[in-house]
Amino acid sequence: MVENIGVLVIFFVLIVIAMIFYFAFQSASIEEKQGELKIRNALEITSKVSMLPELQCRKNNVAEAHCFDALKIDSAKLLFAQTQNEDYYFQQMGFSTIKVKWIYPYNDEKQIYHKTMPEYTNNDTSRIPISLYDPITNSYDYGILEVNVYS
Amino acid sequence: MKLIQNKKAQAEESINWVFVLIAGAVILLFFAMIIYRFGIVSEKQTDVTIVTNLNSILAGTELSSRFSTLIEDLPNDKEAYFDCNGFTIGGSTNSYQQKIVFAPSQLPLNPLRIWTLDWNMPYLVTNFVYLTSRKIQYVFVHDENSPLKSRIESIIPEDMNKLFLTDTSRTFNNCPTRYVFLDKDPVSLQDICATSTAVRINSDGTISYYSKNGNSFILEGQSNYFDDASLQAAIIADNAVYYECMMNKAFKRYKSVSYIIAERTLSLKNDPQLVQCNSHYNNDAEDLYRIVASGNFKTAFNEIKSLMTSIIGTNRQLPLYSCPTIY
Repeated sequence: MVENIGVLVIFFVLIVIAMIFYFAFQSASIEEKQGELKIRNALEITSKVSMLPELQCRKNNVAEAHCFDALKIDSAKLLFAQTQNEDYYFQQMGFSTIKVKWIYPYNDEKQIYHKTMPEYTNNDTSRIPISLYDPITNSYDYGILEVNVYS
Repeated sequence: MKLIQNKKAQAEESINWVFVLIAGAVILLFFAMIIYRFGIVSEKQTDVTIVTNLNSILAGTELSSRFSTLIEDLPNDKEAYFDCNGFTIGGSTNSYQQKIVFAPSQLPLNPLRIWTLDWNMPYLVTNFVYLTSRKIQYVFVHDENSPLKSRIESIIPEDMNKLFLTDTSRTFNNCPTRYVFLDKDPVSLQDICATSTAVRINSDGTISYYSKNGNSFILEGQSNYFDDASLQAAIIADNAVYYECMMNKAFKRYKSVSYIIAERTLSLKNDPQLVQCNSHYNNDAEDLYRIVASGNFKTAFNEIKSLMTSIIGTNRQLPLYSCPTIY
């Protein structure tokens, strides 16, 4: 009788140990996935912003890849900040700071969107090279789109 | 003494067997419960995985215009339920957020056709995403030489389960079937399916939604379409509420993009370096500001249509005077 109870106790102890190992492994892999998602989120926002018709340059309605229309940037900044549009652009860009930087022929930068997460613990920055088209002079400048995502 | 010891040993052995039986039953019950729970969790996990993957696909497709894909490895018995806010598969729901998605309200998942079309008004506003399945049959009822028929044929996916008919005297066995009457009033049909729906699409941009009542159809609501993208949307979405709700979402995007186009046009119009161009921009910017301030797409429909024609005309003329285009 005592031996049987002993066997059962050992059996259940082994099951509990196996479960503890399983859950510890699961939680480690969840944390790893969370890290991956944060980086992916920054890249996704960068890609979404670069494709917004509010900023993109188009010629005869054909989009130019990684090109922002310099004449649209200031009005886009105003549009993103308007209360009635806040929800839409927050869902697109989340808690982030988005800047357009001119690199050549001159240096300048414009912040087009800014929403900080209160008490954020992490921020990931993603940058892509862009061209900035000026339709008045019909010329292109070189620049960078910088997206800083808070989490 | 030996007899008493024997009897005690026999009794202890019996108790041991009873104990082993109870312990065995408890262990069996424990594992049976784990397997049962695992079954429920795994079913839910399948739904969640499909919902998450479908959401990722929708997010990706939303960014690429004129994209099309067929997904054939989804479970055969699963159905998705769509409304204006999002979609549900099993017990898992997902919101579209700001995506403009058109789908039948009840969609068998396998095989799933997803495609996109850019919504140009006349400048790009957003991409519309469409979903359907070969299990849904689309029956287009039209007159001979209908201009809408050739227009629809050229824009809908080739592998869509579709029929173009001028005569509807046959019996329709597919369930569900979506009837699309082109410039024609819905007629009574021999249709075995209770969930079939119908829409009348007119060349003048008006659409009427119908639901089934016996073998005939009753009018549910009326709306409008602008272009090929919204025409397809009217065919795919099977009720007026869903179509209008999505179109109002799209109209909000239209207002945002129009604001940018209006501001840009005004900057070009007032730029001292482009004095020779100023008069060629007409009043399109001012008209766009008026649209931005208007209510919904139905009330502004005629105004938008005429403004689109005007902007297209101006945009064609501008390069002739070496002036930057509006879009």
